[in-house]
Amino acid sequence: MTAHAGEDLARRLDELAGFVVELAAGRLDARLEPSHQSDEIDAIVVGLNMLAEELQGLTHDLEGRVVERTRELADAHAALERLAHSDPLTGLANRTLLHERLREVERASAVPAVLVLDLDGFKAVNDSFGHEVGDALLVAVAERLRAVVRETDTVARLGGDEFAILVHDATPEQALDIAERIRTVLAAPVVVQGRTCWVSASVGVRLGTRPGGATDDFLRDADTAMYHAKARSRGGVSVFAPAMRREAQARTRLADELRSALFTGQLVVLYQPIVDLETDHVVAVEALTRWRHPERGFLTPDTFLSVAEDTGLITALDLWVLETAAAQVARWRADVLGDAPFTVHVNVSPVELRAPRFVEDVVDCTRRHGLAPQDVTVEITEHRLLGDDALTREALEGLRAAGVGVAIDDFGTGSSSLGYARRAFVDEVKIDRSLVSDLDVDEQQMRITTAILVMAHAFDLVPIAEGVQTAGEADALRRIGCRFGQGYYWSPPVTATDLELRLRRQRA
Amino acid sequence: MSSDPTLGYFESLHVDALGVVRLEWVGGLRITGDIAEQAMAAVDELNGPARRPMIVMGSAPTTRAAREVFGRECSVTRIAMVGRSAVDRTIANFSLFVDPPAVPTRFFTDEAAALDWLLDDRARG
Repeated sequence: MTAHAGEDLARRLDELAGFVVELAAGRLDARLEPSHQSDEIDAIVVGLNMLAEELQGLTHDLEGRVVERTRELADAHAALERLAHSDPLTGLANRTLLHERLREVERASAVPAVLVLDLDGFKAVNDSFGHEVGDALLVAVAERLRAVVRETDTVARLGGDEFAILVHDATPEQALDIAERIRTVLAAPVVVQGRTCWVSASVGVRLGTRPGGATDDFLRDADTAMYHAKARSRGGVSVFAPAMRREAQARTRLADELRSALFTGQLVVLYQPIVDLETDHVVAVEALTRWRHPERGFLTPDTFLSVAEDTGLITALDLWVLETAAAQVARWRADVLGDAPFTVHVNVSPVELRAPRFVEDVVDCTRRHGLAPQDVTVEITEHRLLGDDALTREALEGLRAAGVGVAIDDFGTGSSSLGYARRAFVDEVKIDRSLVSDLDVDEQQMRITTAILVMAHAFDLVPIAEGVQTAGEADALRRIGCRFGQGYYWSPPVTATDLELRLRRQRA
Repeated sequence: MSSDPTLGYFESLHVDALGVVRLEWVGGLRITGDIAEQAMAAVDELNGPARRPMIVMGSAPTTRAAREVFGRECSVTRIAMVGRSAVDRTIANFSLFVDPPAVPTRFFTDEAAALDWLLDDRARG
């Protein structure tokens, strides 16, 4: 080897060593240009260049994967956050997020308002059209609610058909304006999956009073106000007042007491005769519940029926009355009545009509007590029929097919039941006491009641006049062709023992 | 592409009398992914519907992207890489072992041995 060649080799090896150090230091973009000799040193240089590029590529891939995984983790975290804070069906905030936002409002020293609303008529939609339509309705309602609030406000779904709106900072007028807008946007029907759904909302409003005040009870208070609104009329708005809390507490207490009353014999059934006006004979009775309250005395259903419905106790209550009355009629049949035509009328909440086993429960009950289905008539209050829905119709048809009678109570005071009456889903109508009172002295009253009787007969329904108090009213009813009556003129609701005495006298 | 089959990357690209595709890279080339794509397309165009063995004369360093391209199926059945220098061997080893091609590929220092291997394969069908 010449001296020059030796120097050249030494230089190339020095460069190679420097290149290796650069790569080892992590500078993977470093490259060394090979000579034109294509010898072993060049082979190492080319190999190292390609290796460096390979490592650079792998590092780039790895970094890309790290970035991707980090993004996926961030996305998953965000999705979990959303899940923890939102309602999966509507995408609205959930209760947790609503509480967080209330805390934020406190910290921001704003004056918030909370609106809680509950859809009236949602259950009917769900029961009639199915849960899929019900869910789509909730989504549509959620969209409408979003449209009535500001960006800073929070719309939440609390569960079921209950929604809440937190108005971040509002005067009472602004909050009430939102409540009004809610009523307006929900007034238009919602068309989901080809079904037209009519809903309204009862709205409870809790107004803030001072900036930064505690908001712990806002949701509960708005809820209380919402129940107050609902109790007054569907689609109403109530602003919370402390008295409502006391009322709500009283209702809660009443519900607890009613629950135990059902199992401790505090409830009793009284029977008010239904009389054949031609013979003055008792041909049926209406079973009426009374509560012997240990402190408050004898309570009529109007004091506890709405509590029973709100708490779901109505199911147990209605069944208990049916059982008690059916057992009593069975005893009367055995002891006094024999085969004489006799029917017991029991009142049933319209909510119960939609219960899946309602018809079977009624029929089972008559069978268990050895009664014919015709011995029982189910009474449904006209103004409380919730509309023309499939489940109600099916229940009425089912009862009639089984032979159980169906009567509409308080007929003539509402309008929803006319459709049921016209389409022969019922057997009897009980003409409301307001149309019977002063019938013998008020000509206008006479004309109206006559017209209702004509209508009842036209629909092939048996009319029973309720609330008859005087002989004059009874005579007037006879004159206009009403065959049956019920009221204090003949008898108030009496105990089974008292009624039995009357039945025995009648038989004698 | 058909107007200039060498694309400026090949000293030559043609099918020889034995029916072998003969490719020779120009000196000092570094084969990127883009060049690899064009080269593969040129070979496929040359072969048309036929599938032939290929002999590659000389070597050029390849990037990762280029080796990925060469890892795909194309119209060649076997590849013999012929080189004589240590640099050729290093490049061939990278191609063979870091990102193996889709078809059987071997490195030869002797062209006749390379052709034997290619044609022997063809004879076996």
